[in-house]
Amino acid sequence: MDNIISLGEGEVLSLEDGDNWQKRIPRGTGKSYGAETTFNLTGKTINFEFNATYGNATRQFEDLNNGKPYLYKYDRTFMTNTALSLKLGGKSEMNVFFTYQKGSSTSIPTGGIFEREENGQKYLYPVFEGKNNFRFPDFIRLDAGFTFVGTNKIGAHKIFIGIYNILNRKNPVYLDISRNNFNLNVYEVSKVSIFPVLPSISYTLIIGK
Amino acid sequence: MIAKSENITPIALALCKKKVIFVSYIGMYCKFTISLLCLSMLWSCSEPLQLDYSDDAELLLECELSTSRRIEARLMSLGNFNDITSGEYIEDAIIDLGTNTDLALRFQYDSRNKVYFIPVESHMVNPAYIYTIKAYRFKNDPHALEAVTTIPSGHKIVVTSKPVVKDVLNAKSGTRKEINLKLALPDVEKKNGFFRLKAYRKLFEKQNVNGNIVYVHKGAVEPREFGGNDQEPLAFHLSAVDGDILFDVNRVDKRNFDLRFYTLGKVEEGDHFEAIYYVLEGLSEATYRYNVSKSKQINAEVFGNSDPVISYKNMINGYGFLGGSSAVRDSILFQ
Repeated sequence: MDNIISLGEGEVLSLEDGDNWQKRIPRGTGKSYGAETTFNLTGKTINFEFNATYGNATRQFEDLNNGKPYLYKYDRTFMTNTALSLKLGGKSEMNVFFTYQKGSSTSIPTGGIFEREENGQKYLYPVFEGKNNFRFPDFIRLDAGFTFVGTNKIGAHKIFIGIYNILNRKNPVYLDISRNNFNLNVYEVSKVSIFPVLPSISYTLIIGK
Repeated sequence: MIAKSENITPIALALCKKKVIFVSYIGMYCKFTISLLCLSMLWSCSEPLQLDYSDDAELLLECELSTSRRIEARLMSLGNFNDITSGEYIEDAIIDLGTNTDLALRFQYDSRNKVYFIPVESHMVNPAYIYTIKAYRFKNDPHALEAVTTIPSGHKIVVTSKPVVKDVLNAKSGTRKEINLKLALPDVEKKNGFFRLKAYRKLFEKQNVNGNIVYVHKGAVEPREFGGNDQEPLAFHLSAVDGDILFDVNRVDKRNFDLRFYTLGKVEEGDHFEAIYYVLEGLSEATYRYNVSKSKQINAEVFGNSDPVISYKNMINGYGFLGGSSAVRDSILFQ
């Protein structure tokens, strides 16, 4: 892929650049490749599906990461999805879904370079060894639920009772890099996750036949 | 159509009424459960992430071997992620500089300026050599810092056409003089395309001495304000460290590229003669990339929420760089 654009390192686009601002956007190239496979088993009472993806996505910009190739932030390398649907009699069904994805990448500092000292105050800048040098923890999630179906004069009724993220795994959505409130010289990295174990219930009414 | 609408309206009203009744019949307990479920969907969780960092302080060594300056090196420990101010100058290390002819030189420590140096009389940098630096805190240190560099050759700028000087209006500094230069570096090899340019100004006054017109230097030397390049602005970087211009000539047409400078004041009648004095240093890739990344880091502090700047290093077992530079001084004179 050619002419891919990205944000510049340590700078922001300025209106002072006038019509020239587009030329200040770093342009580079990207490579992506991968393979996908799916296995599907369908029976009278069972429906099983497994799919796996292997991929690799890199970017290279003269103005980013010192001109060296780096992992694209959405490179997940490996991911699998497994879904099982099991009929329990005529009116109920059990659904299980499991997903495993390798964490995506982000850049985190590994230290600070002392730049200068003025009036007893040290001025430093953080050291980033490489762009997207850190992988998020793997994304793992297991969901399960039951569906009950019934019909009457009005139509079909469907009730779903399930649990999202049964393992209550705190899959990080993003990393928060900040300074400690009590000691500004200490950097803290926190992973922020949403949707812990979450029960859910839904009712669907299909009017008519 | 009207009749159809009239038929639909009573049914819709009835459904609305039913909904209102249904909602009003939901008990307090049920409402509380629904609210709790909705709230839990918005619940996020933040917890510290354990990162595996070495407890040993990493070292950083900066050394630029220049043909025109004393050989100096700066050695410090890197601030730990858990206390970034913990970085400090290392004063008791041994730093050796070797060449491919096995000439080994040991740095001395200047405690006042906190730099290691090799006295000028001991050795001048020679572009014919490949240099290796090694810094260690004790003999047989397994974590000794090591890097290799070559010294690029110096080049003179060739002016390809007459400079264009005109007045331009700037919102910040009012009217000022813009000098557009068309330049070339035709003999530069592709692997040696990195340069650092320092441009400054001297003004001359036209004087009549015994009937002869002479130009006499007046005023102090002042740096030229860099105005950039319109074709490939990203090829040129104005250093936040020292105001020098860092550029990669391979990203533009090296046989004809533009550079723009600004100076204070207007184009005046008596302004017959002007010169751009410059120091052009050919840089090794390590010197170029390290200085660009350092400058971007400083800019990042000013801009705040910008993308992180990736630090350059070519040092084994640590951070920092060993690079080379060759300076050429000259001037571009025009009337």
